[in-house]
Amino acid sequence: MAASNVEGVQHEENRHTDSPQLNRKALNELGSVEEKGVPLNTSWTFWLDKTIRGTTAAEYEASLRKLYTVNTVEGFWSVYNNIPAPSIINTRYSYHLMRHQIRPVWEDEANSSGGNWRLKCHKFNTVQVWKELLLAAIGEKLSECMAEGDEITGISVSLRDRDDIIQIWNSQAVLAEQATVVSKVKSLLPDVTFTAVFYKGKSYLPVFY
Amino acid sequence: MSAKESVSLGREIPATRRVILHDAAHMPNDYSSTPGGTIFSTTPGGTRIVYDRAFLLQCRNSPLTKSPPPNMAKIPGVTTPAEKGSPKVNGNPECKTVAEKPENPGDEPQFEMDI
Repeated sequence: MAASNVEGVQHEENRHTDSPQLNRKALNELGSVEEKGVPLNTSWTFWLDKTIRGTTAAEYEASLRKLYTVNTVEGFWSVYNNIPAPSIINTRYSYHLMRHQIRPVWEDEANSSGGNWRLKCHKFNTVQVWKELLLAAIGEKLSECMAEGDEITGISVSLRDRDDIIQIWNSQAVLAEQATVVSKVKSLLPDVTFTAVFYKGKSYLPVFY
Repeated sequence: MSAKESVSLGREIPATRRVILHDAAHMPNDYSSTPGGTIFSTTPGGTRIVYDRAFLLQCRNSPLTKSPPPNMAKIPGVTTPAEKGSPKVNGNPECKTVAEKPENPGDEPQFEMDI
C-alpha cells in the first residue's frame, strides 16, 4: 500500500522533470526572478511574428510566437536585453509588447472594439523609437494621454523593406480622437521624423494626421 | 500567558505593497516618488503604478537582467543562435549522455527504503 504510493509519487516527479522547458529548476528560478523585481502596473507579453505576403489571418496567427510574459521591470529587461534589436532581425518580422496576454491580432477579444496608431519611421530611428515607446508603455506614461475608458493595449514594431512601422494599440477606437498619444510620442522623440502617421480602427477607415 | 498573547496580536495594514530594493540605484531621484514607483490613486482609470524613464533605465543594469528568463520561447535565429552549417565536433558525446539517462531509473528501487 505504502510502496505503491511512493511509486506513484516518483512517477509523477519523473514526468515533471522530463519536460525540457519547464523543469523544477527552471520554475524555481523563474519564481525567484519575478519575486525580486519591481512590479509593473500590469503584466506585458512579448510576441514575435513573421509576415508572409498572401497568408490568411489564420496562417498569420499560427506564425505568431509568444516569447514571454513579464510582471516586473527586471523581467522586462531580462527579455529585452536578450533578444536581438529590431535593427538586427530580418525584414517582415514584427515584435509586439502587449498588455496582459493580448494577442496582436484583430481577432483577440481585447481588440474587438480597438485600433492602433501607425507611425512610419526611418530605419535608423527604429531602435530608439521602439525602446522609448516600450518604456513609456510599461511606465504607464502613455496611459495619461488616453480618454477615460480607453487604454493602451500594446506596442508593435514591424520591420519592412523601406520605412519600418510602429503601432500603438488602444482598446476603444471611438475614443481615439480624444487621445493625445501622437503628440506625446513626438514630445518623447523630438529628433525623430515620422514619415506617416494615421489611426486605424478595426472597423473604420484610416484617419490621417 | 493569554494576556500577553492578546496584547501581541497584530495584523499588517491591508493592501500594503512591499517593494524590496537590492540596490541603492533603485532609489527614486526625488522626494515625491516612492521606491518602486509612484501610485496615483486618483487617476481616471483607478490605481495605476507609473515609472519614470530614468528609473526604468536604472533597472536595466540589475544582475537579474543579464540573462534571459529560463523558459523564454526558443526561436532559432532570434532568441537562440541560428543553427550553424557545420555540426559541432563534440556534439555526439552530449547526445549520448542524454540518451543514457533513461536507463538510470532502473537503479532507483534501491532508494525507496529511504522514504
